[in-house]
Amino acid sequence: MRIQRLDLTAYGPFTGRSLDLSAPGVHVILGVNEAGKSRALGAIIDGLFGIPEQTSANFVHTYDALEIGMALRSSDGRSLEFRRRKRRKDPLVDPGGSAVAEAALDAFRPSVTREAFEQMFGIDHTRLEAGGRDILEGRGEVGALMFGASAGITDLRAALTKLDTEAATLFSGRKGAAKPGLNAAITRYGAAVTATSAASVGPEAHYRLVREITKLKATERELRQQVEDASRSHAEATLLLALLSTLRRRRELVTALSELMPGAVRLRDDLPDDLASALSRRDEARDAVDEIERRIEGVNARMAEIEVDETLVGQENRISELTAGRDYYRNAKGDRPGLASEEASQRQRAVELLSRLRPGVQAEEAVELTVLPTLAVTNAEELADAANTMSKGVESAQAALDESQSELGEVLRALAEAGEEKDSATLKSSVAACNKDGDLVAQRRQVANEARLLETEVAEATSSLDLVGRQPDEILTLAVPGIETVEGFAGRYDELGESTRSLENDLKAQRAKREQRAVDLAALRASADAPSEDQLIDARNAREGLWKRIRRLVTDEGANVPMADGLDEADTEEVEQIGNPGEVGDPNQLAGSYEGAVADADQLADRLRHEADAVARRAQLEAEITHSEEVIGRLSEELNGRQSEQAELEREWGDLWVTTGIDPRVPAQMALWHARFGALVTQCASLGALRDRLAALDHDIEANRQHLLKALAGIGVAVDSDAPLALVRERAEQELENFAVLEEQRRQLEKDRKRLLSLVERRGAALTNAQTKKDEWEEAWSGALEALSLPKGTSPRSVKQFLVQTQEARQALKLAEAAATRVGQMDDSMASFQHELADVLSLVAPDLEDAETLSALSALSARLAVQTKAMTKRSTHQLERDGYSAELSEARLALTAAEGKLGDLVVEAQAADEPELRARAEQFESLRRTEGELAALDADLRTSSQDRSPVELDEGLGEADESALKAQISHFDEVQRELIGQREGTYTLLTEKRHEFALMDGSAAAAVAFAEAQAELAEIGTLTERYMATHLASQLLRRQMEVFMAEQQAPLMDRACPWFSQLTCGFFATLETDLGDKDETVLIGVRPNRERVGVEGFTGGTTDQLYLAFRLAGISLAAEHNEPMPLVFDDIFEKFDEARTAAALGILAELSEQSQVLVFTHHRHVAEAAKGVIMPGLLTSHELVPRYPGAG
Amino acid sequence: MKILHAADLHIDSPLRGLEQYDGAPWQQLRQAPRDALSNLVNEAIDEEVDLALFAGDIYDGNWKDFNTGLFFSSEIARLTEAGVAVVLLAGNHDAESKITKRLTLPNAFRFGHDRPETCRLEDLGVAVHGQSYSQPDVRDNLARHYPDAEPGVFNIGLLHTALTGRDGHEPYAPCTLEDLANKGYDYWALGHVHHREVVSENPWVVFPGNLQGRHAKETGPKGYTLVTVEDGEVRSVEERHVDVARWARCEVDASGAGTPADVLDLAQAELGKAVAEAEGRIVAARVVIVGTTDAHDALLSDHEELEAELRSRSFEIGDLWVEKFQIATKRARDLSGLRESVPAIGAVVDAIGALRDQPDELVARYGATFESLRERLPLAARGADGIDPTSETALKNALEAAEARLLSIMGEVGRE
Repeated sequence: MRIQRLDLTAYGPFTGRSLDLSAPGVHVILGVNEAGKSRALGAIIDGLFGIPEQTSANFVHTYDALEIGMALRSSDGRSLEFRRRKRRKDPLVDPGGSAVAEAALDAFRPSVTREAFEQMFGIDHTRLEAGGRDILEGRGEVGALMFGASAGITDLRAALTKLDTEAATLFSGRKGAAKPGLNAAITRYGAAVTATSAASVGPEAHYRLVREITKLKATERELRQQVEDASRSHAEATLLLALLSTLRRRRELVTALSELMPGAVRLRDDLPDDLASALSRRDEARDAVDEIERRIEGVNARMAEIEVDETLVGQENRISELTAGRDYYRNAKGDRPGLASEEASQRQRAVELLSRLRPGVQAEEAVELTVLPTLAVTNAEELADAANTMSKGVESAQAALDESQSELGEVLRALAEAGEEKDSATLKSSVAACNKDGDLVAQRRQVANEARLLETEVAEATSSLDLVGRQPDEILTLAVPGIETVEGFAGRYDELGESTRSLENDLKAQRAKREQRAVDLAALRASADAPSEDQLIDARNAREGLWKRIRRLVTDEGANVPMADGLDEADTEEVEQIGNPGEVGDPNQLAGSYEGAVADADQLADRLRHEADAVARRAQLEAEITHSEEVIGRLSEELNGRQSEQAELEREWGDLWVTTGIDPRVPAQMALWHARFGALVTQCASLGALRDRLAALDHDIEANRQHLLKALAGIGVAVDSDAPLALVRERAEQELENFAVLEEQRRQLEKDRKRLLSLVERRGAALTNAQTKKDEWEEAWSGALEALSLPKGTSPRSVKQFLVQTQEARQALKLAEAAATRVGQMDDSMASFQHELADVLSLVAPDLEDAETLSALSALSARLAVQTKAMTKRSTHQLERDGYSAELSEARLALTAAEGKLGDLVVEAQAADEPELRARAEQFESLRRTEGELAALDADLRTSSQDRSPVELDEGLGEADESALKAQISHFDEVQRELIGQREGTYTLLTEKRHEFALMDGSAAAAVAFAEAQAELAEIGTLTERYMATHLASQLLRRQMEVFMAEQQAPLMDRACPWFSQLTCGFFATLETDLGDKDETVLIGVRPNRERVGVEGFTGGTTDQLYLAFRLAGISLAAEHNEPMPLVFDDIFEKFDEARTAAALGILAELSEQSQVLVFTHHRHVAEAAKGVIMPGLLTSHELVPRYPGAG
Repeated sequence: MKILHAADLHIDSPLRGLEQYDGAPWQQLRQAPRDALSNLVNEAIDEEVDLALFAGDIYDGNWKDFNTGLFFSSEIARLTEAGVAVVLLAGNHDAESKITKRLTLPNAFRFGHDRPETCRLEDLGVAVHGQSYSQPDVRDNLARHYPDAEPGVFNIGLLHTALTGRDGHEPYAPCTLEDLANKGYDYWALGHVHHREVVSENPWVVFPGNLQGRHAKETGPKGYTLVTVEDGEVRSVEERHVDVARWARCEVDASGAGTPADVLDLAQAELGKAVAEAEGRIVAARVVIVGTTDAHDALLSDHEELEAELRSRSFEIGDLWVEKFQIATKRARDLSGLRESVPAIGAVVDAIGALRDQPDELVARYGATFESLRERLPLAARGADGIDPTSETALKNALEAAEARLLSIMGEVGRE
């Protein structure tokens, strides 16, 4: 499929642009980054596959305005022309506007999805880098490389690693591996199953436990019985031991009783007590009779001395009553005048009050006049209370009605003044449209500010880059050499500079070396002559000759041997040669000569050896000087060559920049310059976009302004036609606000009018109602006056006063009546008092009858007090004597009774007299005491033995003594201890079993553990599925990569190898495969000299080129069998130098015979390079920067 | 007279397939079958039920913890102490249960397995006829030997059977509706089938279903049947729910969903419905995504993350346990075209397609890969409801998921 034409009707920054892509071969589309180029790329993809729901291509055109047009042609000659819009319904239409089905595109992009198209047929710098990086990280592993490149996948190896890692975290087949999730879950499941078993109880265990518990309970019961038996025996012995002394005493008492019983008379039990009591009472009675008779005589003597006036004492009660009434009499006599005055005063007040309403009223009429009918009074009071309310109700209703009518009048006047409403719809819609666009002026100001800032930055950057005077559009189209080229030159400069510097250093060093050798040689030559070898031989011979003489002298023992005889011819010669023959015969001289000869010979030998080294050194120095001169010559020649190369390189460098008009600095500096220039280009592009945005905003501002002006004119508002948008908009909004205010006022007035009309009506009705109520009251008031016999027209206030005063008069009359009654009562009481006193005086004190009433009473009271005292004293003596008489009678009776009792006891005891009675009583008492003690002992024994029979106890004791009982106790102690131990053991076991049984209470522990095991099983299932999917995915992919490699390796290599060589400009001759560290097949680059380089030795750019070579090879192979799709390259030459860019373009030209090739770039030099590489008939250039003059 | 009819208690049989995850209501569910029985007993006492009938499968046969029997015994004691007569029999699951054989139930009547017997409850005027299973696999028509109805009393047949067969249940003690009707009983209290079913109203033949759903196939409300008898005739037959947790299958049609997020939204809505229908109970839900959708590969590829996301969302919905998030969708897009557009990827898809079409080849080639995994898995994990990694089924499922993963890796899915 080929894209014949791409219409950027309304998309991204483009409006009405069209690219004719119908020509064969390569299309190079030059556009600025982001704003243009990328959008055009996006347009191709959106055109073929649809505009996504969310897109950023709407920053100039709204969503519903976005439109792309395309004309397509398939390899079999079919064609399709359509327009694509962003809408749900009929997004595709033909040029005539008729809907086109999406399926119509299937013939042109068979089975290719948007993602597949982007992945396979879109190649950009980022993908190229990612592909290269993956190759490097995979150390050139062929399978992943070829498969990934053929499938357009850039990180296949990383994805495979991720799959393997994920599988490893899920499961490991190694024994004991616990970390992976599945292994851990399996372990947890095992633990849960074990926990289930541990918590489970079988029925057999349950019932076995039941049996064991039953048996243990029986054993425990039996042991308990045995313990109790032993305990009882122990207790018996202990008891007998404790009672031993008591039982012995009991035996003594029984013996004593048996002795007493024959002679004793058994009396009544309490007879001895009765006898003692009777004797005691008789003695006491005799003493009492004597004493009382003596006291009676004394009292009789005291009574005879007292005398009493019986008459006066007989009137004691009357005199006491008179004394009690004395205070009342005295007070009444004082109060009576005041009360009489009060009565008169109240009567006078009542008459006065009544006279105020009824003049001329008499005192005797007063009572009658104060009585009024209750109902009439109540009625009159209620009506009087309501009178004020009636009057005020009418007045307030009238006032409210007047107020409402006044307000209504004002509202009606205001409504009339407000007038009719104007039509503001057009103005509203214009303002709304304006608002929808937002604050365009502010946006423009912001964009303009951004543009100004950017212009400043661009200007500064332009200046700093020595591009003063160049305009942004010129900069955008400036064909500066690529960074790779610049860096290439920098590298060459550096290499050449380094090489030259190295040569110069070498030359300098070599010259210095030669100089040093020359100096050394001269010094060597200047040193002293050396001794000859012959001289050395002579010196040694002299030394030996002397030595022989010395030896001979020593061995022949004497100076008798002529020296000459002892010397042979040779010796003589030696001596002569030494030149000291005269010393031969003298041993001391001989020794000295010998030492001198040895030293001479050694010295000569040393000198000779030294000279030999000097000769060798001299020869070496001469050779080195010769060599240095040769090196110097060669280095000088090489240095000259480098200098020529430097000059050539500088010329090339200068030529490179000629077309740009830029005088370049050295390449290293220009590399830095280049980076900054790149930033400048980006800034220039952004500046262009901002300027476009400014133009669009200006257009929108003017359109809005015109609409507003027209709308304002429509409502009769004249505004200066040159006024800015802000002013016009402000005026329009002000007008709209005025409209709103007036409308609101009108609405409020109408609302008030309706409210007031209703209010006036309601208040009129209220007034009528109040008046009616007032009339009804007046009629009732007349009736009330009549009922009170008051004249018509009397006011409610007068009536109220009348009623209050009548009530007061009635109260005054009641008070007067009470005072009169009290005076009458006083008069009666005083007369009665005086009469009673006179009567008493006439009986007992006639001498006081003439005395004043109260004085006579006082004297009488004094006389009575004296007589009453004497009377009391006599009565006291009388009472005392009566008491003694009674006591005497009782004492005499007691004496008689006691003597009678003694007589009765003599008879009862069948004694002859009182002494015999006493003897028999004593004997009986002894018997009874013994029996008592025995009974007490028996009772104690019963208490101590828990009510056992004393006789039985006595029998139980038998003949046992204390030691025998203690032995028994000790025995039973031992038995008990043993039995208790057995019982406790049994009980402990029983408790354990019972506890065990208690755990079998229907616990859910096992069920819960099993439920947990089931949960683990569920997780195991999930993790197993996950592991299988992950592991299988990895296995499948690896296998398929192997299959793919087996099938495709050869054709891919055949196609990719020459392209790789071409892309590296011959730096690599070809590619071969080899085995890597892990026996995997890896790619090896082969240099022209057959040097083999692993991909780890490749530079970043070279791995990118390797990926590209295989990527293109994959596409090329696929296109042989399928509908070829357009290939879209987006600035893939970022890291390519000029030569490699040219090489890549050449390959693309080659590829364009198969597939349509679209190369998007923002580098003009790429476009220029294409012209130099691709034949004119196979290259079409386009420019997508129409906003910038000069951009084409 | 009120009669409670329950069956298939399967006490202490755990809820299966519930993988624990953070926030899941594990504590509330781990004793669910016991809690359901306790609920039943509470209701019976509150309702003043006169007779309780348990139609078999009170325990699981291979369950050995006698505590289960003791628990059941204590619950039966609560009933009998409250004056409820209890009659029960053994079904296929508890025929050979040691618990059944050894446990003494207080005041309850348990049918023997040698021949049909009649339990007469004079006070109630009821005769219950029944026979326990002597072994799990009873293929005889037990009902045929049940005695004819006794005159003058209310006759009940207690029987553990699948009648003429019911899906998912072994055809034990087979019999026809006619066999039952011919006995002249007033009410047939059946057990064995776990889904409630009123088979007939004349005479009444009722499966009450089990008390508590235990796995994803036992969905919907579970409980017992309350029968009210007046004047010797059935007046009402009511379904009563005592389950603690309710299983639900939330099937989500993803045909209209373009992305996994859309699918999750749909699933969330379905889960909300299930919770609303559960009468306040905890819901154990299996979410099954069906339909033909563009999101097929993304759903399979991101299965784990999506399941986690849905479980996270479930906490907002209510008392909910997402048991499984199952992808059963079909791919909307035909991948065959990849062969032309992206041959390398197309080749992978073709290879997977070939394995799918030739399962023998799939097993032969990749079965051994998972042999070590199979060896490490517990036997129960490889059982009927588990997964055998070397089996054709497991490998085919893994193949589908692997294909989705590979397509995701190779860039065919998951892109905006």
